[in-house]
Amino acid sequence: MLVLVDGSTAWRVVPWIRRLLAPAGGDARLLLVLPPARAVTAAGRTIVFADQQEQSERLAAHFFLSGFVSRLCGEGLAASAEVRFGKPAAATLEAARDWGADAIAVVDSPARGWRRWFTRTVVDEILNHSPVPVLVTRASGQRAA
Amino acid sequence: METVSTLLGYDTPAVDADATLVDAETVLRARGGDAVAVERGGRFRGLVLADDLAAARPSMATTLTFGEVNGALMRIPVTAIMRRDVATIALETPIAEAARLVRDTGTPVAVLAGDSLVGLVGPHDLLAALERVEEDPRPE
Amino acid sequence: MPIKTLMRSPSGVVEATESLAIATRRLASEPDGCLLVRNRGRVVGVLTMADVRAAGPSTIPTLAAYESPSLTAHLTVADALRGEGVVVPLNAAAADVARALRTRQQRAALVADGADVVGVVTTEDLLSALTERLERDSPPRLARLLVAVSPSPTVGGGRGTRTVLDIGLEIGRRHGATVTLLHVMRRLSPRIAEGLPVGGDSDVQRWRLAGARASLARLVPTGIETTVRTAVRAGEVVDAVLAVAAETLADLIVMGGRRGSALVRETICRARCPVLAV
Repeated sequence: MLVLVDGSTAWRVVPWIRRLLAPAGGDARLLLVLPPARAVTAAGRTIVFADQQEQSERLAAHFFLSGFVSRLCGEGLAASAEVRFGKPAAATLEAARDWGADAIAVVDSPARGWRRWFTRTVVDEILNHSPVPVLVTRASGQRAA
Repeated sequence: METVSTLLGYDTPAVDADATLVDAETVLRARGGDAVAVERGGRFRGLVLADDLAAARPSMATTLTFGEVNGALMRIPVTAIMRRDVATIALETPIAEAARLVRDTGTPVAVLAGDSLVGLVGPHDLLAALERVEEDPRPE
Repeated sequence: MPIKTLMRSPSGVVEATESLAIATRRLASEPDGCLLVRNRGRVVGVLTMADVRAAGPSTIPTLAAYESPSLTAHLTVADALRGEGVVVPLNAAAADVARALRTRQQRAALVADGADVVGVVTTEDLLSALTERLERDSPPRLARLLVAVSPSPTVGGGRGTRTVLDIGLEIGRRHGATVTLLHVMRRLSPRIAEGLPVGGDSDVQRWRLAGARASLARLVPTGIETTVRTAVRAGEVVDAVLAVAAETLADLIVMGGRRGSALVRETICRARCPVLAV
Protein backbone atom coordinates (compact mmCIF):
# COMPACT_ATOMS: atom_id res chain seq x y z
CA MET A 1 0.00 0.00 0.00
CA LEU A 2 1.36 3.42 -0.99
CA VAL A 3 0.64 5.95 1.75
CA LEU A 4 0.70 9.64 0.91
CA VAL A 5 1.66 11.61 4.00
CA ASP A 6 2.66 15.09 5.01
CA GLY A 7 3.92 16.57 8.25
CA SER A 8 0.50 17.23 9.69
CA THR A 9 -1.33 14.02 8.72
CA ALA A 10 1.16 11.17 9.06
CA TRP A 11 0.21 10.60 12.69
CA ARG A 12 -3.41 10.06 11.61
CA VAL A 13 -2.96 7.60 8.74
CA VAL A 14 -0.03 5.47 9.95
CA PRO A 15 -2.00 3.80 12.79
CA TRP A 16 -4.72 2.86 10.30
CA ILE A 17 -2.13 1.38 7.94
CA ARG A 18 -0.71 -0.58 10.83
CA ARG A 19 -4.13 -1.87 11.77
CA LEU A 20 -5.10 -2.72 8.20
CA LEU A 21 -1.90 -4.48 7.16
CA ALA A 22 -0.76 -6.13 10.41
CA PRO A 23 -2.81 -9.36 10.15
CA ALA A 24 -1.48 -10.11 6.68
CA GLY A 25 1.99 -8.60 7.09
CA GLY A 26 1.77 -6.37 4.04
CA ASP A 27 4.09 -3.84 2.45
CA ALA A 28 3.72 -0.15 3.12
CA ARG A 29 5.58 2.66 1.39
CA LEU A 30 5.27 6.13 2.90
CA LEU A 31 5.41 8.82 0.26
CA LEU A 32 6.11 12.48 0.95
CA VAL A 33 5.70 14.85 -2.02
CA LEU A 34 7.41 18.22 -1.80
CA PRO A 35 7.04 21.20 -4.12
CA PRO A 36 9.86 21.50 -6.67
CA ALA A 37 12.94 22.95 -5.03
CA ARG A 38 14.16 26.37 -6.07
CA ALA A 39 17.57 27.88 -5.99
CA VAL A 40 18.22 30.28 -3.14
CA THR A 41 19.57 33.62 -4.33
CA ALA A 42 20.59 36.84 -2.63
CA ALA A 43 21.70 40.08 -4.20
CA GLY A 44 21.67 38.42 -7.60
CA ARG A 45 23.98 35.59 -6.53
CA THR A 46 22.96 31.93 -6.23
CA ILE A 47 23.69 30.76 -2.74
CA VAL A 48 22.12 27.30 -2.99
CA PHE A 49 21.41 25.66 -6.31
CA ALA A 50 18.08 23.98 -6.89
CA ASP A 51 19.52 20.47 -6.86
CA GLN A 52 21.39 21.20 -3.64
CA GLN A 53 18.19 22.53 -2.10
CA GLU A 54 16.35 19.45 -3.28
CA GLN A 55 18.95 17.16 -1.75
CA SER A 56 18.72 18.97 1.55
CA GLU A 57 14.93 18.77 1.60
CA ARG A 58 15.01 15.12 0.60
CA LEU A 59 17.27 14.30 3.54
CA ALA A 60 15.05 16.18 5.96
CA ALA A 61 11.97 14.44 4.59
CA HIS A 62 13.54 10.99 4.89
CA PHE A 63 14.52 11.81 8.45
CA PHE A 64 10.90 12.74 9.20
CA LEU A 65 9.57 9.55 7.62
CA SER A 66 12.13 7.28 9.24
CA GLY A 67 10.35 7.42 12.61
CA PHE A 68 7.11 6.12 11.10
CA VAL A 69 8.94 3.51 9.03
CA SER A 70 10.70 2.22 12.14
CA ARG A 71 7.42 2.04 13.97
CA LEU A 72 5.78 -0.01 11.20
CA CYS A 73 8.81 -2.27 10.83
CA GLY A 74 8.69 -2.83 14.57
CA GLU A 75 5.18 -4.23 14.06
CA GLY A 76 6.46 -6.78 11.56
CA LEU A 77 5.50 -4.91 8.40
CA ALA A 78 7.78 -4.33 5.43
CA ALA A 79 7.86 -0.53 5.40
CA SER A 80 9.87 1.90 3.32
CA ALA A 81 9.89 5.60 2.50
CA GLU A 82 10.08 7.65 -0.67
CA VAL A 83 10.34 11.36 -1.34
CA ARG A 84 9.31 12.94 -4.62
CA PHE A 85 9.07 16.48 -5.89
CA GLY A 86 6.20 17.85 -7.91
CA LYS A 87 2.43 18.03 -7.71
CA PRO A 88 1.13 15.73 -4.96
CA ALA A 89 -1.60 13.94 -6.90
CA ALA A 90 0.43 13.36 -10.05
CA ALA A 91 3.50 12.29 -8.09
CA THR A 92 1.42 9.89 -6.01
CA LEU A 93 -0.17 8.24 -9.03
CA GLU A 94 3.22 7.95 -10.72
CA ALA A 95 4.79 6.46 -7.57
CA ALA A 96 1.92 3.96 -7.27
CA ARG A 97 2.47 2.91 -10.85
CA ASP A 98 6.27 2.66 -10.52
CA TRP A 99 6.11 0.68 -7.31
CA GLY A 100 3.19 -1.53 -8.34
CA ALA A 101 1.01 -0.52 -5.42
CA ASP A 102 -2.15 -2.55 -4.75
CA ALA A 103 -3.79 0.43 -3.10
CA ILE A 104 -3.19 4.05 -2.18
CA ALA A 105 -3.91 5.54 1.25
CA VAL A 106 -4.48 9.25 1.74
CA VAL A 107 -5.68 11.62 4.42
CA ASP A 108 -8.45 13.98 3.43
CA SER A 109 -8.89 17.47 4.76
CA PRO A 110 -12.00 18.33 2.80
CA ALA A 111 -13.07 21.91 2.26
CA ARG A 112 -16.26 22.79 4.10
CA GLY A 113 -19.57 24.17 2.94
CA TRP A 114 -19.71 25.92 -0.41
CA ARG A 115 -15.99 25.68 -0.87
CA ARG A 116 -16.36 21.93 -1.29
CA TRP A 117 -17.94 22.48 -4.66
CA PHE A 118 -15.13 24.71 -5.89
CA THR A 119 -11.98 23.20 -4.39
CA ARG A 120 -10.42 20.28 -6.16
CA THR A 121 -8.25 18.58 -3.63
CA VAL A 122 -5.36 16.21 -4.00
CA VAL A 123 -7.63 13.44 -2.75
CA ASP A 124 -10.22 14.22 -5.42
CA GLU A 125 -7.60 13.90 -8.13
CA ILE A 126 -6.28 10.64 -6.76
CA LEU A 127 -9.79 9.23 -6.41
CA ASN A 128 -10.60 10.15 -9.99
CA HIS A 129 -7.42 8.85 -11.61
CA SER A 130 -6.15 6.00 -9.45
CA PRO A 131 -6.06 2.58 -11.13
CA VAL A 132 -6.14 0.88 -7.72
CA PRO A 133 -8.43 1.14 -4.67
CA VAL A 134 -7.99 4.23 -2.51
CA LEU A 135 -8.24 4.21 1.27
CA VAL A 136 -9.27 7.60 2.61
CA THR A 137 -9.10 8.66 6.23
CA ARG A 138 -9.89 12.15 7.48
CA ALA A 139 -7.71 14.52 9.37
CA SER A 140 -10.47 15.32 11.84
CA GLY A 141 -13.93 14.24 12.89
CA GLN A 142 -13.10 10.59 12.50
CA ARG A 143 -12.17 8.00 15.07
CA ALA A 144 -8.51 7.19 15.56
CA ALA A 145 -7.12 3.77 14.72
CA MET B 1 -3.81 -11.91 25.31
CA GLU B 2 -5.57 -10.12 28.16
CA THR B 3 -9.33 -10.08 28.04
CA VAL B 4 -11.88 -7.86 29.74
CA SER B 5 -12.61 -10.60 32.28
CA THR B 6 -9.50 -9.40 34.14
CA LEU B 7 -10.97 -5.91 34.49
CA LEU B 8 -14.29 -6.75 36.07
CA GLY B 9 -15.05 -6.14 39.73
CA TYR B 10 -16.95 -8.31 42.17
CA ASP B 11 -20.33 -7.01 41.18
CA THR B 12 -21.74 -4.54 38.71
CA PRO B 13 -23.26 -1.20 39.72
CA ALA B 14 -26.86 -1.51 38.59
CA VAL B 15 -30.34 -0.20 39.27
CA ASP B 16 -33.75 -1.35 38.26
CA ALA B 17 -35.50 0.41 35.38
CA ASP B 18 -38.01 1.85 37.87
CA ALA B 19 -35.28 3.58 39.86
CA THR B 20 -34.91 7.33 39.89
CA LEU B 21 -32.00 9.60 39.06
CA VAL B 22 -31.31 10.02 42.77
CA ASP B 23 -31.02 6.24 43.12
CA ALA B 24 -28.53 6.15 40.25
CA GLU B 25 -26.52 9.00 41.79
CA THR B 26 -26.45 7.18 45.12
CA VAL B 27 -25.09 4.01 43.54
CA LEU B 28 -22.44 5.93 41.59
CA ARG B 29 -21.37 7.87 44.65
CA ALA B 30 -20.99 4.66 46.65
CA ARG B 31 -19.32 2.57 43.96
CA GLY B 32 -17.47 5.09 41.83
CA GLY B 33 -17.01 4.38 38.14
CA ASP B 34 -18.33 5.88 34.94
CA ALA B 35 -21.84 4.47 34.71
CA VAL B 36 -24.66 2.49 36.26
CA ALA B 37 -26.36 -0.34 34.41
CA VAL B 38 -30.14 -0.44 34.15
CA GLU B 39 -31.83 -3.79 34.30
CA ARG B 40 -35.40 -4.95 34.04
CA GLY B 41 -36.41 -8.49 34.79
CA GLY B 42 -32.77 -9.44 35.14
CA ARG B 43 -31.98 -8.32 31.60
CA PHE B 44 -29.67 -5.49 30.63
CA ARG B 45 -31.56 -2.49 29.26
CA GLY B 46 -29.08 0.34 29.08
CA LEU B 47 -26.63 2.59 30.88
CA VAL B 48 -26.91 5.77 32.89
CA LEU B 49 -23.66 7.62 32.52
CA ALA B 50 -22.11 9.73 35.25
CA ASP B 51 -21.76 12.50 32.66
CA ASP B 52 -25.46 12.36 31.79
CA LEU B 53 -26.42 12.48 35.46
CA ALA B 54 -24.28 15.57 35.88
CA ALA B 55 -25.84 17.14 32.80
CA ALA B 56 -29.34 16.38 34.10
CA ARG B 57 -28.75 18.48 37.21
CA PRO B 58 -29.59 22.15 36.79
CA SER B 59 -26.88 24.76 36.52
CA MET B 60 -26.06 27.29 39.19
CA ALA B 61 -28.42 29.66 37.42
CA THR B 62 -31.49 27.67 38.43
CA THR B 63 -34.17 29.32 40.54
CA LEU B 64 -34.86 26.02 42.33
CA THR B 65 -33.50 25.39 45.80
CA PHE B 66 -31.22 22.44 46.47
CA GLY B 67 -34.09 20.60 48.16
CA GLU B 68 -36.42 21.28 45.21
CA VAL B 69 -33.82 20.00 42.77
CA ASN B 70 -33.36 16.76 44.69
CA GLY B 71 -37.10 16.41 45.07
CA ALA B 72 -37.50 16.73 41.30
CA LEU B 73 -34.71 14.23 40.61
CA MET B 74 -36.42 11.74 42.94
CA ARG B 75 -39.39 11.75 40.60
CA ILE B 76 -37.49 11.35 37.32
CA PRO B 77 -36.92 7.72 36.27
CA VAL B 78 -33.49 6.61 35.08
CA THR B 79 -35.06 5.71 31.75
CA ALA B 80 -35.35 9.46 31.05
CA ILE B 81 -31.61 9.68 30.45
CA MET B 82 -30.71 6.04 29.96
CA ARG B 83 -28.64 5.24 26.89
CA ARG B 84 -30.07 2.26 25.12
CA ASP B 85 -27.64 1.92 22.21
CA VAL B 86 -24.70 0.68 24.22
CA ALA B 87 -21.89 -1.38 22.74
CA THR B 88 -21.78 -4.84 24.29
CA ILE B 89 -18.86 -7.23 24.43
CA ALA B 90 -18.15 -10.71 25.75
CA LEU B 91 -15.88 -11.72 28.60
CA GLU B 92 -13.26 -13.00 26.20
CA THR B 93 -13.03 -9.74 24.25
CA PRO B 94 -9.44 -8.44 24.22
CA ILE B 95 -8.87 -5.38 26.36
CA ALA B 96 -7.44 -3.54 23.36
CA GLU B 97 -10.75 -3.98 21.53
CA ALA B 98 -12.69 -2.76 24.56
CA ALA B 99 -10.39 0.26 24.85
CA ARG B 100 -10.98 1.13 21.22
CA LEU B 101 -14.75 0.80 21.62
CA VAL B 102 -14.83 2.96 24.76
CA ARG B 103 -12.66 5.57 23.08
CA ASP B 104 -14.71 5.62 19.86
CA THR B 105 -18.18 5.56 21.40
CA GLY B 106 -17.34 7.84 24.31
CA THR B 107 -19.30 5.59 26.66
CA PRO B 108 -18.55 2.54 28.79
CA VAL B 109 -19.35 -0.83 27.25
CA ALA B 110 -21.45 -3.55 28.82
CA VAL B 111 -19.98 -7.03 29.25
CA LEU B 112 -22.56 -9.72 28.68
CA ALA B 113 -22.48 -13.48 29.14
CA GLY B 114 -25.40 -14.53 26.98
CA ASP B 115 -28.16 -12.12 27.97
CA SER B 116 -26.82 -11.55 31.46
CA LEU B 117 -24.87 -8.48 32.39
CA VAL B 118 -21.62 -9.43 34.09
CA GLY B 119 -19.87 -6.09 34.19
CA LEU B 120 -19.13 -2.67 32.77
CA VAL B 121 -15.87 -1.43 31.31
CA GLY B 122 -15.31 2.30 31.16
CA PRO B 123 -12.45 4.78 30.98
CA HIS B 124 -11.87 4.44 34.74
CA ASP B 125 -11.19 0.70 34.42
CA LEU B 126 -9.07 1.08 31.31
CA LEU B 127 -6.86 3.78 32.81
CA ALA B 128 -6.19 1.40 35.70
CA ALA B 129 -5.31 -1.28 33.13
CA LEU B 130 -2.88 1.12 31.44
CA GLU B 131 -1.13 1.74 34.75
CA ARG B 132 -0.79 -1.99 35.31
CA VAL B 133 0.40 -2.72 31.77
CA GLU B 134 2.95 0.10 31.73
CA GLU B 135 4.34 -0.75 35.13
CA ASP B 136 4.72 -4.48 34.47
CA PRO B 137 8.28 -5.24 33.38
CA ARG B 138 8.20 -6.85 29.93
CA PRO B 139 10.10 -10.13 29.51
CA GLU B 140 13.30 -9.67 27.39
CA MET C 1 5.46 5.26 27.00
CA PRO C 2 6.45 8.94 27.29
CA ILE C 3 3.66 11.45 27.28
CA LYS C 4 5.22 13.66 24.63
CA THR C 5 4.40 11.03 21.99
CA LEU C 6 0.73 11.08 23.00
CA MET C 7 -0.05 14.67 23.70
CA ARG C 8 -2.12 16.87 21.44
CA SER C 9 -2.60 20.57 20.93
CA PRO C 10 -5.73 22.02 22.50
CA SER C 11 -8.37 23.50 20.21
CA GLY C 12 -7.75 26.95 21.65
CA VAL C 13 -7.58 29.07 24.76
CA VAL C 14 -10.47 30.55 26.71
CA GLU C 15 -10.51 32.91 29.65
CA ALA C 16 -12.07 31.70 32.88
CA THR C 17 -14.34 34.73 32.80
CA GLU C 18 -15.58 33.90 29.31
CA SER C 19 -19.24 33.10 28.83
CA LEU C 20 -19.94 29.39 29.15
CA ALA C 21 -22.32 29.59 26.20
CA ILE C 22 -19.56 30.89 23.91
CA ALA C 23 -17.13 28.22 25.09
CA THR C 24 -19.83 25.60 24.47
CA ARG C 25 -20.27 26.73 20.88
CA ARG C 26 -16.51 26.60 20.32
CA LEU C 27 -16.31 23.06 21.66
CA ALA C 28 -19.40 21.98 19.70
CA SER C 29 -17.53 22.68 16.46
CA GLU C 30 -14.68 20.40 17.57
CA PRO C 31 -16.33 17.43 19.28
CA ASP C 32 -13.04 15.76 20.20
CA GLY C 33 -11.36 18.98 21.22
CA CYS C 34 -10.64 20.74 24.46
CA LEU C 35 -9.84 24.31 25.45
CA LEU C 36 -7.11 25.58 27.72
CA VAL C 37 -8.53 27.77 30.46
CA ARG C 38 -6.56 30.81 31.42
CA ASN C 39 -7.10 32.96 34.51
CA ARG C 40 -5.12 36.17 34.95
CA GLY C 41 -2.50 35.05 32.47
CA ARG C 42 -1.99 31.62 34.00
CA VAL C 43 -3.31 28.35 32.53
CA VAL C 44 -5.46 26.78 35.23
CA GLY C 45 -7.20 23.89 33.55
CA VAL C 46 -8.71 22.17 30.55
CA LEU C 47 -12.33 22.50 29.45
CA THR C 48 -14.05 19.60 27.70
CA MET C 49 -17.55 19.08 26.35
CA ALA C 50 -18.44 16.95 29.35
CA ASP C 51 -17.53 19.85 31.65
CA VAL C 52 -19.75 22.34 29.83
CA ARG C 53 -22.65 19.89 29.76
CA ALA C 54 -22.37 19.37 33.50
CA ALA C 55 -22.24 23.10 34.23
CA GLY C 56 -24.83 24.16 31.70
CA PRO C 57 -28.63 24.05 31.83
CA SER C 58 -30.29 20.77 32.70
CA THR C 59 -30.96 18.31 29.90
CA ILE C 60 -34.31 17.52 31.56
CA PRO C 61 -36.91 19.93 30.10
CA THR C 62 -38.92 20.17 33.33
CA LEU C 63 -35.81 21.29 35.22
CA ALA C 64 -34.48 23.49 32.44
CA ALA C 65 -37.72 25.48 32.69
CA TYR C 66 -36.30 26.98 35.89
CA GLU C 67 -33.14 28.20 34.14
CA SER C 68 -34.03 31.22 32.06
CA PRO C 69 -31.58 32.30 29.33
CA SER C 70 -31.12 35.64 31.07
CA LEU C 71 -29.72 33.78 34.06
CA THR C 72 -27.69 31.11 32.26
CA ALA C 73 -26.08 33.86 30.15
CA HIS C 74 -24.10 34.78 33.28
CA LEU C 75 -22.53 31.35 33.61
CA THR C 76 -18.81 31.44 32.93
CA VAL C 77 -16.09 28.95 32.08
CA ALA C 78 -14.89 29.11 35.68
CA ASP C 79 -18.24 27.60 36.76
CA ALA C 80 -17.49 24.55 34.61
CA LEU C 81 -14.02 23.74 35.90
CA ARG C 82 -13.98 20.73 38.18
CA GLY C 83 -11.27 21.65 40.64
CA GLU C 84 -7.63 22.41 40.01
CA GLY C 85 -6.31 21.13 36.70
CA VAL C 86 -3.99 18.13 36.53
CA VAL C 87 -0.51 19.19 35.45
CA VAL C 88 2.14 16.67 34.44
CA PRO C 89 5.73 17.21 33.30
CA LEU C 90 6.76 16.59 29.70
CA ASN C 91 8.80 13.55 30.71
CA ALA C 92 5.92 11.94 32.59
CA ALA C 93 5.01 8.35 31.80
CA ALA C 94 1.59 7.41 30.50
CA ALA C 95 0.94 5.35 33.65
CA ASP C 96 1.51 8.39 35.88
CA VAL C 97 -0.89 10.52 33.87
CA ALA C 98 -3.48 7.75 33.87
CA ARG C 99 -3.25 7.49 37.66
CA ALA C 100 -3.54 11.24 38.09
CA LEU C 101 -6.62 11.51 35.85
CA ARG C 102 -8.27 8.49 37.42
CA THR C 103 -7.76 9.49 41.03
CA ARG C 104 -8.73 13.11 40.46
CA GLN C 105 -11.68 12.30 38.19
CA GLN C 106 -10.46 14.54 35.39
CA ARG C 107 -10.58 13.98 31.65
CA ALA C 108 -7.48 15.82 30.50
CA ALA C 109 -4.11 16.79 31.86
CA LEU C 110 -1.94 19.78 31.05
CA VAL C 111 1.56 18.89 29.92
CA ALA C 112 4.13 21.39 31.16
CA ASP C 113 7.71 21.94 30.17
CA GLY C 114 8.95 24.06 33.02
CA ALA C 115 6.52 26.92 33.40
CA ASP C 116 5.06 26.56 29.90
CA VAL C 117 2.07 24.45 28.96
CA VAL C 118 3.08 22.61 25.80
CA GLY C 119 0.15 20.28 25.24
CA VAL C 120 -2.77 18.32 26.59
CA VAL C 121 -3.27 14.61 27.14
CA THR C 122 -6.84 13.35 27.27
CA THR C 123 -8.40 10.12 28.40
CA GLU C 124 -8.93 9.24 24.73
CA ASP C 125 -5.20 9.66 24.05
CA LEU C 126 -4.41 7.31 26.92
CA LEU C 127 -6.93 4.75 25.68
CA SER C 128 -5.22 4.84 22.28
CA ALA C 129 -1.89 4.31 24.03
CA LEU C 130 -3.31 1.33 25.91
CA THR C 131 -4.60 -0.18 22.67
CA GLU C 132 -1.27 0.24 20.98
CA ARG C 133 0.64 -1.12 23.96
CA LEU C 134 -1.52 -4.26 24.19
CA GLU C 135 -1.41 -4.81 20.46
CA ARG C 136 2.36 -5.08 20.46
CA ASP C 137 1.82 -8.66 21.60
CA SER C 138 -1.31 -9.45 19.62
CA PRO C 139 -1.62 -7.74 16.23
CA PRO C 140 -4.32 -5.16 15.73
CA ARG C 141 -7.08 -6.00 13.34
CA LEU C 142 -10.32 -4.72 11.97
CA ALA C 143 -13.27 -6.19 13.85
CA ARG C 144 -16.22 -5.04 11.74
CA LEU C 145 -16.48 -4.14 8.05
CA LEU C 146 -19.31 -2.63 6.08
CA VAL C 147 -19.32 -3.49 2.38
CA ALA C 148 -21.77 -1.52 0.27
CA VAL C 149 -22.79 -3.66 -2.68
CA SER C 150 -25.43 -3.79 -5.33
CA PRO C 151 -26.86 -7.17 -6.32
CA SER C 152 -26.89 -5.91 -9.91
CA PRO C 153 -23.77 -4.70 -11.78
CA THR C 154 -22.79 -1.10 -11.02
CA VAL C 155 -23.07 1.54 -13.68
CA GLY C 156 -19.82 3.18 -14.80
CA GLY C 157 -16.32 2.73 -13.51
CA GLY C 158 -15.93 -0.70 -15.01
CA ARG C 159 -15.70 -2.22 -11.57
CA GLY C 160 -18.54 -4.59 -10.84
CA THR C 161 -20.06 -5.70 -7.59
CA ARG C 162 -17.94 -8.82 -7.64
CA THR C 163 -14.72 -6.81 -7.09
CA VAL C 164 -16.12 -4.85 -4.16
CA LEU C 165 -17.47 -8.04 -2.63
CA ASP C 166 -14.27 -9.98 -3.25
CA ILE C 167 -12.13 -7.28 -1.68
CA GLY C 168 -14.47 -6.85 1.26
CA LEU C 169 -14.61 -10.58 1.98
CA GLU C 170 -10.85 -10.95 1.58
CA ILE C 171 -10.20 -8.18 4.09
CA GLY C 172 -12.78 -9.75 6.38
CA ARG C 173 -11.10 -13.14 6.11
CA ARG C 174 -7.64 -11.77 6.87
CA HIS C 175 -8.86 -9.90 9.93
CA GLY C 176 -11.39 -12.42 11.19
CA ALA C 177 -13.83 -9.54 10.99
CA THR C 178 -17.60 -9.57 10.88
CA VAL C 179 -18.65 -8.36 7.44
CA THR C 180 -21.97 -6.64 6.85
CA LEU C 181 -23.08 -6.56 3.22
CA LEU C 182 -25.36 -3.60 2.65
CA HIS C 183 -27.57 -2.86 -0.30
CA VAL C 184 -29.42 0.42 -0.45
CA MET C 185 -32.54 0.39 -2.59
CA ARG C 186 -33.93 3.50 -4.13
CA ARG C 187 -37.36 4.41 -2.90
CA LEU C 188 -40.26 3.79 -5.21
CA SER C 189 -40.58 6.60 -7.75
CA PRO C 190 -43.49 8.93 -6.82
CA ARG C 191 -44.84 8.66 -10.37
CA ILE C 192 -45.02 4.88 -10.10
CA ALA C 193 -46.41 5.02 -6.57
CA GLU C 194 -49.18 7.33 -7.71
CA GLY C 195 -50.31 4.82 -10.30
CA LEU C 196 -50.74 2.02 -7.78
CA PRO C 197 -53.93 1.17 -5.89
CA VAL C 198 -54.19 2.24 -2.25
CA GLY C 199 -51.67 0.31 -0.17
CA GLY C 200 -50.11 -1.03 -3.32
CA ASP C 201 -46.90 0.96 -2.89
CA SER C 202 -46.28 -0.72 0.51
CA ASP C 203 -46.80 -4.13 -1.06
CA VAL C 204 -44.42 -3.30 -3.89
CA GLN C 205 -41.83 -2.04 -1.44
CA ARG C 206 -42.08 -5.22 0.66
CA TRP C 207 -41.72 -7.32 -2.47
CA ARG C 208 -38.70 -5.30 -3.57
CA LEU C 209 -37.10 -5.60 -0.13
CA ALA C 210 -37.63 -9.35 -0.07
CA GLY C 211 -36.15 -9.64 -3.54
CA ALA C 212 -33.15 -7.52 -2.61
CA ARG C 213 -32.51 -9.56 0.54
CA ALA C 214 -32.65 -12.78 -1.45
CA SER C 215 -30.28 -11.40 -4.10
CA LEU C 216 -27.88 -10.22 -1.44
CA ALA C 217 -27.93 -13.57 0.32
CA ARG C 218 -27.04 -15.28 -2.98
CA LEU C 219 -23.92 -13.12 -3.25
CA VAL C 220 -22.41 -14.64 -0.11
CA PRO C 221 -20.14 -17.56 -1.06
CA THR C 222 -20.77 -20.79 0.79
CA GLY C 223 -18.20 -22.39 3.05
CA ILE C 224 -16.32 -19.21 3.94
CA GLU C 225 -14.92 -18.75 7.42
CA THR C 226 -15.87 -15.12 7.73
CA THR C 227 -19.05 -14.11 9.56
CA VAL C 228 -21.20 -12.35 6.98
CA ARG C 229 -24.44 -10.50 7.68
CA THR C 230 -26.66 -8.83 5.13
CA ALA C 231 -28.72 -5.67 5.37
CA VAL C 232 -31.05 -3.92 2.96
CA ARG C 233 -32.17 -0.34 3.38
CA ALA C 234 -34.31 1.97 1.24
CA GLY C 235 -33.63 5.63 0.72
CA GLU C 236 -30.64 7.88 0.23
CA VAL C 237 -27.48 5.84 -0.27
CA VAL C 238 -25.06 7.90 1.80
CA ASP C 239 -27.46 8.31 4.72
CA ALA C 240 -28.15 4.58 4.76
CA VAL C 241 -24.47 3.61 4.51
CA LEU C 242 -23.54 5.91 7.37
CA ALA C 243 -26.48 4.78 9.50
CA VAL C 244 -25.57 1.10 9.13
CA ALA C 245 -21.89 1.92 9.70
CA ALA C 246 -22.88 3.57 12.96
CA GLU C 247 -25.19 0.71 13.98
CA THR C 248 -22.57 -1.95 13.30
CA LEU C 249 -19.66 0.16 14.66
CA ALA C 250 -17.86 -0.46 11.38
CA ASP C 251 -14.10 -0.02 11.39
CA LEU C 252 -13.98 0.33 7.62
CA ILE C 253 -16.47 1.00 4.82
CA VAL C 254 -15.74 -0.66 1.47
CA MET C 255 -17.64 0.73 -1.47
CA GLY C 256 -17.56 0.65 -5.23
CA GLY C 257 -18.97 2.86 -7.94
CA ARG C 258 -17.07 5.72 -9.55
CA ARG C 259 -14.45 6.72 -6.98
CA GLY C 260 -14.67 10.44 -7.60
CA SER C 261 -18.46 10.48 -7.60
CA ALA C 262 -20.38 12.78 -5.29
CA LEU C 263 -21.77 9.73 -3.52
CA VAL C 264 -18.34 8.32 -2.61
CA ARG C 265 -17.03 11.78 -1.80
CA GLU C 266 -19.88 12.53 0.57
CA THR C 267 -19.46 9.20 2.30
CA ILE C 268 -15.78 9.95 2.81
CA CYS C 269 -16.59 13.41 4.18
CA ARG C 270 -19.18 12.18 6.68
CA ALA C 271 -18.03 8.70 7.70
CA ARG C 272 -16.69 8.15 11.20
CA CYS C 273 -14.29 5.52 9.90
CA PRO C 274 -12.01 5.25 6.86
CA VAL C 275 -13.51 4.44 3.48
CA LEU C 276 -11.93 2.13 0.94
CA ALA C 277 -13.08 3.25 -2.50
CA VAL C 278 -12.63 0.23 -4.76
